[in-house]
Amino acid sequence: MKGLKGLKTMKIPDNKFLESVKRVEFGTNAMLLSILIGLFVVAGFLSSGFLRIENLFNIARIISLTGIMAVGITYVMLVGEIDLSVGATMSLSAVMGGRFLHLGIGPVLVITFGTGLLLGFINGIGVVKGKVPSLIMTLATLTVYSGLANIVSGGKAVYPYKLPAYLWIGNGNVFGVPFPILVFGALTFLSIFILNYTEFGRWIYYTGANRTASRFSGGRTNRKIITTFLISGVCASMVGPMISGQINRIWSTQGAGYELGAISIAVLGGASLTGGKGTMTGTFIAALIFGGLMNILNLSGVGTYLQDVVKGVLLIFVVGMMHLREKRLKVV
Amino acid sequence: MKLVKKNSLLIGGIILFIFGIFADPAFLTLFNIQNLLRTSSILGTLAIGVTIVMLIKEIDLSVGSLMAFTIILAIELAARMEAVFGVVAIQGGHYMIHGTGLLIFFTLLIGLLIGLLNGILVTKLKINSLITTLGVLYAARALAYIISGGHSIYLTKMKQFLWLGNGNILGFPTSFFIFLIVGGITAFFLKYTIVGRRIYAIGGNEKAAIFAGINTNAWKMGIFAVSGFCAALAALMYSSYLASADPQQAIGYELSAITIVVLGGTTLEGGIGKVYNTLIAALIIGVLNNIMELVGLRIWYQQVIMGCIIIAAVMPRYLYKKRI
Repeated sequence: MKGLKGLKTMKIPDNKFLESVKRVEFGTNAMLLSILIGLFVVAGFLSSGFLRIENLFNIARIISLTGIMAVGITYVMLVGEIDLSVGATMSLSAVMGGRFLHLGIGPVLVITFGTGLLLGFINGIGVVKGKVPSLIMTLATLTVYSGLANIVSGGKAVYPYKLPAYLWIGNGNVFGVPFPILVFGALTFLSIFILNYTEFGRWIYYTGANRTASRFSGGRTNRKIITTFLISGVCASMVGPMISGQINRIWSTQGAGYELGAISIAVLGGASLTGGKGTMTGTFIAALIFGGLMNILNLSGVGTYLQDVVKGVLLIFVVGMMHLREKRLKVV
Repeated sequence: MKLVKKNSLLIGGIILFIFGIFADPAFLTLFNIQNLLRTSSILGTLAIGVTIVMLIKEIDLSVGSLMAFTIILAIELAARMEAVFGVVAIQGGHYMIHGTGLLIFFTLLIGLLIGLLNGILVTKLKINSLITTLGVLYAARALAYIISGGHSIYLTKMKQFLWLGNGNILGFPTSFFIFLIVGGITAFFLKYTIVGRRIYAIGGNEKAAIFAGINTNAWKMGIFAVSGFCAALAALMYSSYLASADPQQAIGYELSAITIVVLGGTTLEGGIGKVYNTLIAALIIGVLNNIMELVGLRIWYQQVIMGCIIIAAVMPRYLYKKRI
C-alpha cells in the first residue's frame, strides 16, 4: 500500500479546488472554535463550578472516549461511508481480550486491537467486495458483533484487577494528564498530519469527493476504503480497555450507544455523509463542544434519558445547520 | 426453471417451513402457527412502511423506537384526556383500564405526525434521512423512557384492545388480517394507481421526477408519514399481543424490518421492489424466528444469524450490478 507503508509525505502544491475546500473548512472550523469558546464562557458565567480544573479534566476525560471513536469514524465518513458498528466493535474486542486475561497485558492488548482490526476488516470487505451499502453492512455487523460479544463472554462480566497495566489504561496519568486524553490528542494530531501531509490522506479526500474519478486516477480506492474501516475498528477497540480499566469490569454491552455520540461528533465537526468534506480538527473541536454540552446538562441535573434526547435532537439540528450553510456557500 | 427463479423467495420460504416441521414437533400445531403469524404480522407491518420509504431511496431507522414511543405517549394523552372528564384511565399507576378508542386513535395519530416530522426534516431542512431517523430513533426511545417513568403499563384489563393482538377470525389471527389488508392496499396503490407510479418515479430518478413536475417534497413527507403510521399500527398489534406497553419494547426491530425489506428484494438504490415480496419475506423471517425460538436457540445466536442473513441477502443483489 503505497501511501501507508512508507508514509510518503510531500509538500503538495495546492490547486484551486483544494484551496477552495480549505477555505470552507477553515471557515467551518473557525465557527466551531467560536462556538466552543462561547459555550465555555457562558457556562462558566452561569455555573461557578464549570471552569474548575477538575471539571474541565473530567469533561476531557469522558469525551476522549467517544472522541477516539469519532476520529475513526471521521476517516470512514471522509470516504463517503458510515460505520454504525463501532460500539459493538468496542464491546466484542474488549470481551475477546477479557477471555485471555491470564496471558498477561501484552497478549490481551494484542487480541483486543487485533479483534478490532478484524472486525473493521470484515466491514471493509463487505462494503468493497460484497458491494453491500455501508449503512446496511454496519447495521448488520452491529447486531452480529453484539450477539458475538454476548456469546464470547457467556453473558458474564470479567474483572481485570489482576492486571494493573490494564487498569492503568483507564486510570493512569502521565504528568497529571489522564491517559485517554493523551491518546485522543495524539490520534487527532497524527490524523491531522496524515490527512494533510501524506499521499494517503490526499487520496482519502479524493476518494470521498469523487470515487469514480479517484479510481480511474489509480487511487486504489478499494484499499483506501478498507483501510478506513480498519482504522475505525482499531479506534473503537482502543476505547474498550479505557472504560474497563477505569471501572475494573469488562462486559458484553459496554459499547452500546457509543456510535450515536461518535457519529454526532464527526458530523458536528463538519464531516459530510457523502464524503470528501471534513477535518480532524473539526472533529476534535466538536468533541470538546459535545463534551462541554453534556457536562452542562449533567451539572444542571438533566437525567441520562433527556441527555439522549438532546443528543438525538442535536444531531438533527447540527446537520440541518451545516446543510443550510453549505447552500449559502455553494455556487450552483 | 424460470418459474423457480422468479419465485425463489417463496420456494425458499416453503423449504424453511418444511424444515421447521422436522425441527420441532411443536411447530405444526395450531397454537404455534397462530403465534407465528402474529409475530410475522407485527414485523411485516413495520416492513411495509419501510419498503415504501426505501422505494424512494430513503431510509427510516426510527420505526423500532416509534413502536414504543407512539403507544406510550398515546397512553399518557389518553389518560390525561379522560381525567378531564373525570374518568380514571390508569389504575394504581400501572394498569390501564379505560380508553381503548382514544388509545388507538392517539397512537396512530402520533405515528403519523412523527413520520411527517421525519419527512419535513428530510425535505425542508434537507437533512439526510439516515441522520434524521437515527436522531429520532434515539430521541424517541429516550422520550419513551421519560414519559413512562421507566416502567411498563399493563393493558391486561382492556379486553377490547387485547382482541387486536390476540383474537382470531376464522382461525387466523386478527393481526394477520390487518397485515394482509395493509399489505394489500399498499400493493394495490403501488401497482395500479398513480400513487405507485409517482413513488417509483421519485425513487428511480429524483431529479428527473422533479423536472417532470412531481412535487417530490410532498410525496416524501407523505411517505415518511405512512412509515410512521405503520410503526404505530405495529405498536398497537405488539402491545395488544403482549398486553403491555414497555419503553424497552421493540428495540432493534428496525433492523428486522430492514432485513425483511432487503430480503424481499427492495434495495437502497430505490425504484425497485415489490410489496408482495416484502410480505413473503416477512413470513419467512417470522418462520425463522419461530423455529429458532422452538429449537431453543439463545437470543444471542439469533442475533448473529439475523445479521448474517441481512448481509447474505444484500450481497448477491449488489454483486450483480457492476458498480464502479
